[in-house]
Amino acid sequence: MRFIWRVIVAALLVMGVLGGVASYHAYRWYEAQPWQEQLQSILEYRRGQSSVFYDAQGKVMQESYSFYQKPTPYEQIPKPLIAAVLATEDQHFFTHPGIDLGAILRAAYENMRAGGIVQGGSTITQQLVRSYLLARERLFSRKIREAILALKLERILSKEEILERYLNHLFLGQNSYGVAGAAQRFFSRPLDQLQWHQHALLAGLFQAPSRYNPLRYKKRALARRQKVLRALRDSGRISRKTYRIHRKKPLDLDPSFEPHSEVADHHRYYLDFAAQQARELLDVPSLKDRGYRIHTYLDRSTSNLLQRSIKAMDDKFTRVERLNTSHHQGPRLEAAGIVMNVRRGTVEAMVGGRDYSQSKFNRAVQAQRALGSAFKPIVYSYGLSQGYRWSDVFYIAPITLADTYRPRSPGHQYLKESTLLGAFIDSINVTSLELGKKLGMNAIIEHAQRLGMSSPIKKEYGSLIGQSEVNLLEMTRLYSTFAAGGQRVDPVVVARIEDHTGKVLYEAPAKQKRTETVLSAEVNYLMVQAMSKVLSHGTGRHAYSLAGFAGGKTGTTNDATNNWFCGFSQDYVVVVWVGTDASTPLLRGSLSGARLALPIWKPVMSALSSAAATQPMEAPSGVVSLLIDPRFGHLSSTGIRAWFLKNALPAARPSSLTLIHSGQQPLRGFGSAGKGTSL
Amino acid sequence: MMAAVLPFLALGLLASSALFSAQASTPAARGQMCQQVVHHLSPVLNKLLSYLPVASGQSGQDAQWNEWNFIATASDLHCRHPHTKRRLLQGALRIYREHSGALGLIMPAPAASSMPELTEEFHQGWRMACRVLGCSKQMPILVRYVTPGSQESLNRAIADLTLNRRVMALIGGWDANAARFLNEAARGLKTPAFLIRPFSLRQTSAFTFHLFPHERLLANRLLTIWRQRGVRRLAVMQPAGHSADLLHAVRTSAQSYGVSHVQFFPYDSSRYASMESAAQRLLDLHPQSARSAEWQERLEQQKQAAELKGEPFDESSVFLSPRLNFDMVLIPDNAKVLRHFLKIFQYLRYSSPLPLAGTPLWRSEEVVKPWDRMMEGAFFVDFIGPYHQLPSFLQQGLQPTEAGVSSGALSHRGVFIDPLKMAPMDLRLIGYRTMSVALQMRYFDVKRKSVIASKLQQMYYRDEFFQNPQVFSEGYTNWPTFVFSLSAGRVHFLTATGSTSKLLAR
Repeated sequence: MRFIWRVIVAALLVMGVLGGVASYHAYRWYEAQPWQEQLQSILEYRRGQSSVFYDAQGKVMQESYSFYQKPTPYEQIPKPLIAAVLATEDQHFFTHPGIDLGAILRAAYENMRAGGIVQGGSTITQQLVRSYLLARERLFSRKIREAILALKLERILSKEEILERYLNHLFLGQNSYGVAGAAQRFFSRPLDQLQWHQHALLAGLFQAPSRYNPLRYKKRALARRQKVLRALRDSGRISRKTYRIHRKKPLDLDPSFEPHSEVADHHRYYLDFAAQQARELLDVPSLKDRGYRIHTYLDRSTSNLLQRSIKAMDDKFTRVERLNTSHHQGPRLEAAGIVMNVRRGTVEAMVGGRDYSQSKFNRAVQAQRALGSAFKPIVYSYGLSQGYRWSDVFYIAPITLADTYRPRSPGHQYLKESTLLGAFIDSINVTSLELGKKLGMNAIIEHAQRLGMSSPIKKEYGSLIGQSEVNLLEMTRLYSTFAAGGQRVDPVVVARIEDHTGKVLYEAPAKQKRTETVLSAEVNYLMVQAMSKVLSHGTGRHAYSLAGFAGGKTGTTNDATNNWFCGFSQDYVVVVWVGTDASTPLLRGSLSGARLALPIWKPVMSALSSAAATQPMEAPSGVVSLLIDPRFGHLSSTGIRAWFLKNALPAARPSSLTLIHSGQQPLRGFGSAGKGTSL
Repeated sequence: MMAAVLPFLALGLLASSALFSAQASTPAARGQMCQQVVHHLSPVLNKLLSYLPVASGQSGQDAQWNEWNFIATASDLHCRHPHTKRRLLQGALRIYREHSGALGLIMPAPAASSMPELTEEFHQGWRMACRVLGCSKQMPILVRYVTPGSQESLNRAIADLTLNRRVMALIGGWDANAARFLNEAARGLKTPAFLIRPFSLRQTSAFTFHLFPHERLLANRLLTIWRQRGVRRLAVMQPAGHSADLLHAVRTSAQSYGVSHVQFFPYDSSRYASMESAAQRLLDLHPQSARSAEWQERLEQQKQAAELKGEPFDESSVFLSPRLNFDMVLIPDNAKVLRHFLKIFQYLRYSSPLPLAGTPLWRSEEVVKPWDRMMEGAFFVDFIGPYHQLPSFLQQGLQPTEAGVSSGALSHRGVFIDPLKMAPMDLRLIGYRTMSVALQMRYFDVKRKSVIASKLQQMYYRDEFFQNPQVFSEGYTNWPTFVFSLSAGRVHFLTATGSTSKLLAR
């Protein structure tokens, strides 16, 4: 018997020594871990430091991003609310060191009895750590880590500081964060105007905000509220009388409050994109509660102008929608646009849809669309840089590419000839395809990327007439290259980001640093003038009045699924897209970029140019303006004006084709018996 | 030959006069008697008489005028009297048979001409011939300007030149109507007429001479080349409305040149569908061709394949491979039509160099600018070689263009000139040729006009440009023909030929 006791004592001693050694090493390991760094995001929390967006004029546009959230100091949080939260979530919060062993054992017992997880033993500190830092899986390792971090956090922050973060940070359903945000979301009231039953409802949300969402599951939410009230009563925090009064009250919900109502809807597409840019620039997952000061280039007046132009098309869009309803189930036409200030290289306006409240999908940057003929300036500018002239004559005929690609037009469009310029301003597809084929797909794709396209371009001939997909921002960058004299400028949305102390975390590079010459000034000028011809003589002639200082290009894909107008002056680039989200073919009526997008583009460009007193672009020294025959390209005093490189001028005299066309057959005076010209 | 015929003609006239004298007693014929006498002599003469200015009972004009004035104004009383009638007929016959040694040139009035530069270039060629060969006062050139389209103006000029001035030859034919009436006048008056522009005539008179080059010469040159190249199967793209003479000559002569199979593919160059259809037939792709079964089979195959893959099927994606069953393809049309045909061939997926042949209508820079490799090895024939090889006096004012023309020992500059100058240059050459030939007529020591035509048919004369010494064959002047080939974006002058008379005789 004594021997047994000796063995037991020896074993306990060994275990004690081993346990001591293990505990020592565990302590050393614990002390060596960079807990401080891991807890950084919680520690950096600054009460009331919501991130703020500013417009180009420095006025506040939006605070705290787009969530229902209103950080509130601990002192301003009503005591009944704190009591309700503590009663349901962590009754021993002010006494435990971060973890509550009693609560853990109690939860384990309840869970064993129930045969599943029905109760958690996490303290408020643990929940805060989990919310900020850890994944939500119920893994043992995560629980250990959570407990350790909670212990550490309790050694760094006071109980009040922890509770303030908890009450302001956690998600409480319906896009609201924190108790003040939830109070506005569900009751449209500030915290100090809530009563016990409302405090109880908010406190009940912490456990499962979606499950107890009062706007969706009223009964469930009510049952949860009553449970919180009971807990308050049982813990002695409210009297029985108070309990009886408040348990009979209805939910008193009022979700009418709209946060940040001072910001017009259409600006939000811009701000959403600015927020995304800011997150990427700072490499943070969220801007919430970080106290960032985000200065953007959003110009409210420009944004309003763009929105008004889109709005003005409502009637027309409705007519088009009605016309197409018999074929398709109510396709809704959407529109998007971007305005870029060329001189500053900044995006002044971005509207990603007709109605932000209906759809927050930002079509300006999130949608990839085929761009149709709006791609052609890429092909033509490369052709001009490779020695082609606007006066070069092309024969308009059907074409077979890659052995199987055979785009066809009605026969009456064939058996004609056109100068390169004529084909460009009339947007003739076969000429673009033929030119592209001669220049080579690889070379054109490289050229497109140099000019500013970043989306992948399919190495297919269809890309030459715009079958590859891009977004509006790319098109803005592309056309700004033409507007800026052949210099590609990367447009920016975010001007500067500061932290809550005013320290500059990011500043947009100066325009010069974002600029690269990608097209000679001479070739670029030839393109600019040709695109102004699109307005004066071509597919964009509805904007004839702007041709003196602006240029652009229409783009329409098959069945008018995508309708573009991309245009510019030397001050602004405006890109507009109209179509449906599902790329629904618009079968009825001859719809096109000229009919749907140009009417939006024109008033915007007109107003901006008036305000900026835009002047025509100045011609570089290496180009010359001449009058040429629009069909055959030779010099002609009655022709149209076109620009040429001084070392690649058009023919001075009419060609044989000119004579054939004018009926001066036969070319050889004796060539064809029976059909001579009459003298 | 004509000289032998004339005595019989005179006898015939006398016999007919006896007939008329018998009819003269009838009151109804009395006013027409003299006119009928002349009409029987020559209807054309009778018709032209009415265009002569007449002045009854007056005198003071020259002898010919008086003679014709007498005939034109003679009353039935004169014609009833045998002495008067004899005098009338003798006078008519003398004028009818003999010439004055002058040349009559009918030109469109400059103010009324729509293309004055052409007539000016014709004059220029004429003056050059005069300068080179020497004009003389013994052969005056009488010029009459007519209003284009005015029959009366034309008739008056012909009447004056032939009846009054008794020219030895008429030169004209600037428009279709003038050419037709000159042809008739030449036959009726037995006066040689030189036509300077190509218009179709129903029946060419033996007194009509064509100074412009005829398409039959081109056809024969082409056929000769094809025979040398062993062409057996020939495809001819047949344009609507022109090159009829060329195509007729190819059709009728091909067999004798060894081209055993000629197939024509008609098209209307103003309609795309027509041209595409012609191209489809040429390349054996037409839906109604013998390959329709093959097309149907392929359609079914592709349809099934698409169904298996679950992909949408597009019938227009089914097409057969083109097949050219000819050794040579002739496209006698201009550069515009040619280029559009090339595009259509490429659309139908035929992109290899085609064995193409063309005509002078090809001669423009557009044939090689921009270069299409389908044209590699193609050739065309023309009546004018490199412009810079023309006799120097004919080159005045020409500035051959350089574009598309190869340089080096085997190639030549001067293939192209300003297209606006091409037609004038043609007329300059015709003017030069006309005057050169006309000036040779002064050596014809004959008074009778009817003999001149036969002398012209046998005329031999060597010229720096028109190297064939025989001036006419079957009424057409012998123009040389030249061959140009196309290679690597350039035009190469191949060969020239002087004599084509043998070819024409085939």
